[in-house]
Amino acid sequence: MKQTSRHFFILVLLSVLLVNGSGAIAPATQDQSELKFLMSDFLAKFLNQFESTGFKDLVRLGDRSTFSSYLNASDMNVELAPNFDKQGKYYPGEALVLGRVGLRNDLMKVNAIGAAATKTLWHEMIHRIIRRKGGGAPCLEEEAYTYLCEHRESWLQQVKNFEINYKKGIYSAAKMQEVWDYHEANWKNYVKGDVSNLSGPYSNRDPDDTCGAGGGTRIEISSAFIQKWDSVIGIQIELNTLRDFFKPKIRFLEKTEEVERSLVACDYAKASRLLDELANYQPKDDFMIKWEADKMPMLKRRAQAFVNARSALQTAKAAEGRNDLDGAISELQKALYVPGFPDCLRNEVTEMKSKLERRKRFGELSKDVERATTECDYPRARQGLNDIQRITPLEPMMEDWLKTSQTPLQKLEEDVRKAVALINQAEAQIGQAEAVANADPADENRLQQLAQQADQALAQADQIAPKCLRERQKMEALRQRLKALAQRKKPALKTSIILLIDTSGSMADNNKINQAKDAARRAARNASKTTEIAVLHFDGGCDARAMREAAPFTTDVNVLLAAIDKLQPGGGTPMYIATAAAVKYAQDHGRGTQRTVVLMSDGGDSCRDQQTQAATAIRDTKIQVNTIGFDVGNNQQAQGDLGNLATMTGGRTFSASAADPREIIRAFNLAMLPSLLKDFDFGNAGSNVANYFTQAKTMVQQQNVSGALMMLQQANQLAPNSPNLNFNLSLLYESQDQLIPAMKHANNYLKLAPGAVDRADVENRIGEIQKELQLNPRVVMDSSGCRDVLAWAQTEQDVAKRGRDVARRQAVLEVLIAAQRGECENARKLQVGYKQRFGNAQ
Amino acid sequence: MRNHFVTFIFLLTSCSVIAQDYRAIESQIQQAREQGMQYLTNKDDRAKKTAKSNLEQAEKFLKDELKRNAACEKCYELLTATYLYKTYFGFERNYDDCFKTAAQGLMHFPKNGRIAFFKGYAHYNSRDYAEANKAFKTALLTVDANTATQINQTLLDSQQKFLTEWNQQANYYQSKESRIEVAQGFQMVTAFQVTPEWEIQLGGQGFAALTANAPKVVDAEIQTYLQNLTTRLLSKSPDSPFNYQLTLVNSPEVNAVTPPGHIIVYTGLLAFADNEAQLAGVLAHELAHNYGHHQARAVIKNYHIQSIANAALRAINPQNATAQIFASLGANIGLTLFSRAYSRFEEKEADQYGAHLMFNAGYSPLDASAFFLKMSKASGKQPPRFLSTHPPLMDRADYLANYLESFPADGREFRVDSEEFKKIKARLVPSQQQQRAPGRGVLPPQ
Repeated sequence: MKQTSRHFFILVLLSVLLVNGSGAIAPATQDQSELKFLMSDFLAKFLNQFESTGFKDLVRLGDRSTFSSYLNASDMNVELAPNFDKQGKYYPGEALVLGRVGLRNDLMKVNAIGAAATKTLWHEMIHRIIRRKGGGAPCLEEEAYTYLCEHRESWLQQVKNFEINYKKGIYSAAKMQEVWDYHEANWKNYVKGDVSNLSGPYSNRDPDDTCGAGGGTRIEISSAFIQKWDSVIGIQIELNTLRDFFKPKIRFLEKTEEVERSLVACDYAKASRLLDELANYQPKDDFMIKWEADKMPMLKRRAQAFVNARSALQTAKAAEGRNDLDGAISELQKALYVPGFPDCLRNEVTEMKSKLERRKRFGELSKDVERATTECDYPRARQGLNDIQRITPLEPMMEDWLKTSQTPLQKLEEDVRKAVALINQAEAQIGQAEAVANADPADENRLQQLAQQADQALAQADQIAPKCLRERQKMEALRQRLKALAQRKKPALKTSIILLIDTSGSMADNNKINQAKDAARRAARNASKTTEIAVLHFDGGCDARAMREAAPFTTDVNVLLAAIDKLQPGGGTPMYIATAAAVKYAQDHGRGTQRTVVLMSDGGDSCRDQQTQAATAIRDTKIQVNTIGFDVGNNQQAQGDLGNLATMTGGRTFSASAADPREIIRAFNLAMLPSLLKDFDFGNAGSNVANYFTQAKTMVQQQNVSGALMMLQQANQLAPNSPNLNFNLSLLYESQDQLIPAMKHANNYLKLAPGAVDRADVENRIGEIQKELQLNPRVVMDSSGCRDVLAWAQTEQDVAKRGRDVARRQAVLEVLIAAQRGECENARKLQVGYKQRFGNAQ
Repeated sequence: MRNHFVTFIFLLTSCSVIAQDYRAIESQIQQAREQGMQYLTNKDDRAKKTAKSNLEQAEKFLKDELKRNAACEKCYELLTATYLYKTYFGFERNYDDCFKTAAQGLMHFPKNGRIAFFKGYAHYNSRDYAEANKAFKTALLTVDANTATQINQTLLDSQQKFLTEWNQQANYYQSKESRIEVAQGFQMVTAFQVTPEWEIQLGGQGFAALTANAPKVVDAEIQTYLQNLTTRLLSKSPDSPFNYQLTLVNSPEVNAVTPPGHIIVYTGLLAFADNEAQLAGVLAHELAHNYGHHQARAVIKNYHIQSIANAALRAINPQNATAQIFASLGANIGLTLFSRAYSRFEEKEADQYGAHLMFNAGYSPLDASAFFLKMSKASGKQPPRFLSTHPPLMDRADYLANYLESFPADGREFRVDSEEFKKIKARLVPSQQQQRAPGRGVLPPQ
């Protein structure tokens, strides 16, 4: 009992030390049994050192019980000798380096008991067993055998490491093979001839001259010798069995590597087969089981992804075969999106996809080119062709298509260019012809020549222009214009207007005569071609001769302008007598169906005693007299005279102050408006538009200009591209002193009717308006862009007012004014500033 | 907890009851409208009774409802309609209740188009087209397309009337305010009638007093320009009672005065105005005082105040009275009359008329507002010297900006400035650049 506990204590101590891997221990005692116990324990550990290896059943370093019984035999003495350092037979060299153990006769000396000494202890015990159990062997053979044992043990240590590395998965199969081969080759150093096993024969030198035969004497021991002593001692170490043990492991590893390789190489069949083989591999060690759990599913997935990709590729190819490019592309796209898509197929799939996409693009583009060509949209066709050329690489089929399409398109383009040039030429000639036709008198020869040239150009264009060419519409319109020219009648005169101008002495004041002349000139220019105008003026004494003719009725603007230029002021204002003479003049000479006198005067009638008589004469002709009081101010007599004249003839009276030169122009415009308006020119716009037009004209005749404006605005929404509508809007706006919209519509007119006969006049008008606006700027109020700010400011204004903070009231009013003016950006900026400064009460 | 829950349920049910009641009250008002129309067309007394009692019931209910819950938007809406119908069918004398309710309602719910809708018609019916236009515009923001078309028709008419019927004094010489009547026996006899000539005479006295010691400027360019500008303002609006003679006074005062027949413009005004439109705004305002015959009306009013004190005048014979009246009128005329502050009413009327004069002559009344705003800002730095400041400048600036909303101004083109004005202004106010002291500039090389 006591003994056991003591042994137990030592054991614990020993195991701690072993675990710590430290060197030797020195028992406090020289007690034989205690020392033997410790030594046999170390020895047992040594013999069992391969217990934890996979090949533990294949290798034995000796029979444990044999070793134990020989160590514990009573004739065996052990001694702990810390200073033991003997050399020579039974005191091998290694004992000096490692733990020092020596055996001489029946005495085993150790300088310290520890793990380091164990191998020497094993070595010495083999000697002891040979001599005692086996009856001894010749000295040199015995030495060689023990060295062989040691070499084998060392070699096994390497195999053990080899196995550890295998289990850790550090080695590839190739590396394993290489290391194994290395170990095998190492064995060759000890074994002559057949190295397939470790059974010898073995040769070695006696390093220490243990047997007294001289150091380094070579000794050879036979296989039989080795086998004999192996069996006596119980040693079993065979290369073949170990090789057989490792062979399948290396093979397994090889297969796993091959799986990966075949997956990378897209050899799915092989990968699949190998995976099956690996799954069925027998026997399986821990490493293989772990590998199977860790790697197999991922590899199987990859293999499956490969299968999927392959089948997608096949489906795509099938779709391509059916010429279902979209289907094929989408199939490939889908496959590419799948996780784990095999890289080896990626190139193939993407290449195929871009090839199909190129084909698809080519298909679309080529169709579009064909469509564009049939629609005569040549720039689009050309663009499509260029786009196709940019496709890289071009397939031969595409190149062929390009070759066959290029030339016809070029020819078509050339034709169109020629046709358009011809059409433009015809248009210019027709424009000139129209101008000639409108001139007074018209140059019929020139007209004929121009029309003929235009007709020829159109015929030529007709031959070469493709049927679908858009310019054909224009051609049609031009033909209509030619037709209209051919069938043209001298325009029937609709209106005869007399401009009856007061040239009394007072007209010299305030630059009035010049303003009046300027206004009269504009009125003459603005008049339509169906209006003839005569310019009459009056001054001087109280008889009918006071009225004089400056220009007879004519439609020739130049004649009128020259006549107006010559007007000079001087004399009295025989208004009624002159008007009576003028209405008679209109009656006698006016050829229009409607006759109007526009009288402009700056004062009252100076022949009052003949007024009644003159008034009767005027009334009797039933010719309308519109009167313009120019700079009459509060002159009630003048106002009365002019007003009465208008009233008794069903005309209207207007007034203009000399303060603003535009006023007299506007007054003339108003007085002449009905005859200045152009006729409705947009038959295809529908009857609604025509109705608005007619109503507007009636309203203008009734002097309701703002009502007429409203009508034309409505018409404009329905037919914004009517040139004459824009012309009329421009006139009406100008007469209402709304210059910005007047200019806008005048510009529209010119844009819509580029060849208009009165282009120069309208351009002139626009120029004057522009000048006026530049000198005297106007704004158009439009708060529609910031109604929200406006509403906010209105509410905030009340809040600020209640707060009695003047600065705040000023600030919010600034916002309000900006919003009302329609300066929305500024309004919003001010609003932000306001909120930062005063917060937002709302 | 349980109690709260019960209360909650109760509130829920009471709410739904109320909502039901509004529908009921709405249809009651609708019925009253139909009955009222029947009463007006057929003189049907029963219909009248039904309409009246329906409206009164609705009025009572809605008033109670509003007392309980001041945030009842629907109540304001329906009550405004109720009052509108009551007045329209003649159950109430005027639209005051309607306006009062609408004002309260819009104060709480400024975006309620229905209240504005009823308010607009009430204003239109009482010929306050300015307010009607504004209310209709507010209503148009929210109502459906169908109602919008109907409103637009009325709005167009209202705007037309607003533009043509603004001058309440167009027939001043025919109105009672233009004459003094005295009792003769049982008849009232005109003892004094205001005439343009008398007003011009009055204006002449005022002009003499105002300009006696003023440094007059003779500058043909400026005078012609101002005369033309005045003519433009007058010629675009009918019924100007006078012609005007322009006098330019050299003074930093931002001022202009218009005794009948004269316009006195201080150079300070030309220098202060930013553009022609602002200048036109001030001139239009001053001319508007004359469109309103403010001086003459003040004289007549003053006479009435005096005559009440002097009861003896009422008994004397008319010939004598005229002489006496002339004597008493003459005493207070002159400088006192034209340097007196205009009353709040007169200023408001002048602002209104001035806005119309501007609009008719192609200027935006907004520029007058901007001018007053500028004055208000400037007056912080130095004492205001423009006209009377009664009512305060900001009130007038605000008023004008709001009055613009009554005009059909959106999309319309307005004059802003003119070459002549810019030229004159440049002459009167040397530009910043010219005033700046010479800088360091460039150092010439050695």
